[in-house]
Amino acid sequence: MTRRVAIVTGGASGIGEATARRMAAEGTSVAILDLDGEAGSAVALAIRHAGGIAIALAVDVSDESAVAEAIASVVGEFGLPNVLVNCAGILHVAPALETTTEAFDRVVRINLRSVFVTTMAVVRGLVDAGQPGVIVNVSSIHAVISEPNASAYTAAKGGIEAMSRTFASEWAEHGIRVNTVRPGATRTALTDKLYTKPILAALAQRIPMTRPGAPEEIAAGICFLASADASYITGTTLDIDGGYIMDGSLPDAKYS
Amino acid sequence: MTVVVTGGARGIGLGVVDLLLEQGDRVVVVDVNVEPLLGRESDQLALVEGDVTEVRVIEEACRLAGPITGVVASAGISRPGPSDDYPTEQWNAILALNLTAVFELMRIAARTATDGASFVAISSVTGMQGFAGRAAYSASKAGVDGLVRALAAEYAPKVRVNAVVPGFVMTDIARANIASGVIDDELVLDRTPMGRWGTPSDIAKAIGFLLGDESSWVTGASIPVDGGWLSFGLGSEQNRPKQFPI
Repeated sequence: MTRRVAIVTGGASGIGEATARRMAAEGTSVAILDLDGEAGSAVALAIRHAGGIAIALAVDVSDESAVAEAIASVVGEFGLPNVLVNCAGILHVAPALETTTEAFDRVVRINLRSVFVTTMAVVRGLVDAGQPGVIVNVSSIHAVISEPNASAYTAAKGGIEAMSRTFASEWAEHGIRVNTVRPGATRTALTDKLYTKPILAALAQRIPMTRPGAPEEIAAGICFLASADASYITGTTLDIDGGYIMDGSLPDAKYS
Repeated sequence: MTVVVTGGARGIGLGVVDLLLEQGDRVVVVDVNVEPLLGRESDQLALVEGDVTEVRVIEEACRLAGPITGVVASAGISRPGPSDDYPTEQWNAILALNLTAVFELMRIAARTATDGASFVAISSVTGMQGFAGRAAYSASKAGVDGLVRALAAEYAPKVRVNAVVPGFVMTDIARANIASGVIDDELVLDRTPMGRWGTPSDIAKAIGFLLGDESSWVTGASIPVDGGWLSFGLGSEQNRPKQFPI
């Protein structure tokens, strides 16, 4: 891959923003696709001020025609995108019995269907052009461990992981790698609403590394998987969670 | 960084040593036969020849290293064979080198590890899936994944402990297994989505990620570096992948 052109969905904040900034700092041309056009433009502007190359487009990534249009403008601006980071996502908090099918559909549409939509649009371009590329999707530890009151979110995240494995097998012959990162508790705008003091204290106790993660730490893993350093890694999921889900220790026990 | 690498004179271990030296790190290699590295010793590279299953050999390497910022436990043997008449001594030898020696290395290194140090072990896809004739090797590698999780929980937040999970990598072990007919080269290529064997460098680059700050919030993880092997469902002659450059 000589010229790197990246699309980062959800790049206006949190993990997506940190990823957009890091990729641009590494010399990749970055297009931020985010529903929040204003915040996306602010990030792109900050990247350009730092000497990087970035644009932002206000897009609903679950909308097929809006995505097609956005990718056409990225192609016009930078050339064919060969890096895709699917980071856009929402969280709907409600007990399962109080989650309406409309709410479920909305979460799955934005968190899972959008990954299918953007990935198809980018990969079709790469396969038609006979060019290699790399895709990194953002799942969650809650694809593996429960998250009470977030049934739709966990379903979508599990779906992303399963779909990524299949994409990886299907597109290996085209030189396209597909992987997933699985962040643990990460401080972002999405989680700041949820992370009350007692929850942060509980997380510090539950996570072996004793703290939530920073978006930059997830971005570092995403950028690794997108880089040539991960040239033989495809179809896999990387836990970046401070040891959260692998740990089965009993609270306060020196050993179990 | 100062990194102790066992099995560093060949295969994946050598790939790691090459990468670390290129990055400007200090490396202490422990290997039963350091011959491939003779002549390369320098301020950056120290060699300890010895059996990794002997605690005093590991202690000597860690003493030479001084404060340790990284460990790569790469020494290992494979020895496939049907289980019915598999020699128990061979089972014990595999477990001793592939698993017990990793435990000894990490707990000895932990005594002088710096805050934020990173330990990396080498697991295998054979530790996650069943492979006929691989009982001892699979058990040792599944054991490595368990060991890594336990030590990650125990040493957090001071030291991170992770594993890489290589798929089929072209090393001396693999070449010997192909030569003796244990592994069919063509079948491996058919079954690997990326359509090529892994190289020691492929695995070394992932180990480099785990040793460095880029993985500052990754601990207790086993990261497959397998060209898609573990994610692959069904293959056929028709969809055999073409080979792609790295």
